[in-house]
Amino acid sequence: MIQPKLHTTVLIIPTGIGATIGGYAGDALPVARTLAQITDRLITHPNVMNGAQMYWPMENAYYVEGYGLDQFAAGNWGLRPVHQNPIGLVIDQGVEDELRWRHLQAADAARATLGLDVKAHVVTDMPLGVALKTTDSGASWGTLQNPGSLLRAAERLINEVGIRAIAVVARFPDDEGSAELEAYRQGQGVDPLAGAEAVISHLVVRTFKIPCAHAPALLPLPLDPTISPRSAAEELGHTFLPCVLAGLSRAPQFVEGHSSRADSTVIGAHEVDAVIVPATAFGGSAVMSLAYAHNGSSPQIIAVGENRTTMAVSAADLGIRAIALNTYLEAAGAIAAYRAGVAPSVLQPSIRSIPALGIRN
Amino acid sequence: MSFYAKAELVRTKMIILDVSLLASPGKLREAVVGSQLLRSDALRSHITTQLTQHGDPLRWAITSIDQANQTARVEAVVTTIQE
Repeated sequence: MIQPKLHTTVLIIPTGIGATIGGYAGDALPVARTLAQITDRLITHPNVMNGAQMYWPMENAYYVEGYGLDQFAAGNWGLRPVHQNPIGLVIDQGVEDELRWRHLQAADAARATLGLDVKAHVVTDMPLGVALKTTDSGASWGTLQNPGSLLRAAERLINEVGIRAIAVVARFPDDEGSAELEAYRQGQGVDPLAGAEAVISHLVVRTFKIPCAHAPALLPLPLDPTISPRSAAEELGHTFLPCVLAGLSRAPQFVEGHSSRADSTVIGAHEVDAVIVPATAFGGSAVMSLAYAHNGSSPQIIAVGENRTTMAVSAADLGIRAIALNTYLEAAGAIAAYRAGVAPSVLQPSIRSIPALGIRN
Repeated sequence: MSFYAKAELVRTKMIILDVSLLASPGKLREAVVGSQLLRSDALRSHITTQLTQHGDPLRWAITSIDQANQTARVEAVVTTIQE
């Protein structure tokens, strides 16, 4: 019996570029929840799904770290869905005792209340030394003083405990009172931590090829009654770890090579039907790969105009043919129309007569 | 002994590159039909190759386009091994 083709959507909202939707604390999760209703499989990344202590498990949403998403999009890795992953927790030696205990208690709480299989934790043998940077484009980036210490800790969890996903808690600089942090808490500007967070998880995924996500360890901030709802999820407590553990617990495993085409249990880039990206953020590796079909017809590429970012790279700049829409509601409509076999142009009040190609000499 | 016992020698480094958006004469097959622009998937491969000259690419993005010169500004973090 022939199985119906599953519709697969990739939702990309890069972290650390001040996206007006998805640039703060889990504030693109409503977009993901909406899209998950109109597509069979939604592939997205931690920046979209993580809301500190807020998260929303969805059977058909696949939590794929950014480096893994880039490799998937390039056709180098497939995604193998799982029922669960045993998780290991890496804690930066630079995290103070009290903060470390708060995070260990969050992990124990995730075990006791959600039943997650968090198997062990390890403290890095050196402080990771996270440094935050902002570039000319306005994006946040970061570097690690001791990336090797992170890799050694992850390697121990894999070899000694057999974990299949890694959560990292690194001590980030407290920048209380800085203009960047104040703007972020007001739902404006760029998340100053995001770029360094991505560097940490990318390094682990590139090295070990298993799911990884990061939660920063920071001292709690003093109460500010004017906080933006978009940033409020990170004001709730001592840790941002719960969403990371929930996401990793069912994150698909990576499958190297091109064998995924022959294995129906593995999702490959050639199966992607729609890609949704902020209209100014087409300069990322994943959308640049997915814009051209790995096999057969190209996916729908949808550029969302009202999700503004600090980037300045449109689809047209790179010769990518995209459907330009203003909102995520319209993007959801475009996917629904595509699935119904309806051309979007006939949903408008005025329909042009069918055009004729000119006569070729 | 851990494979990463000497991994304290790994360093992360930020770099900025300007990369041409146009296909070179020998790579016109990788251009967008009817244009000299490199297809975005070929441009992605080209950027990765360029970054490899500075280290092992970890995270990058084109952040802006110089329309006049048809170049892309790329911001990246790479890892290097300190000798």
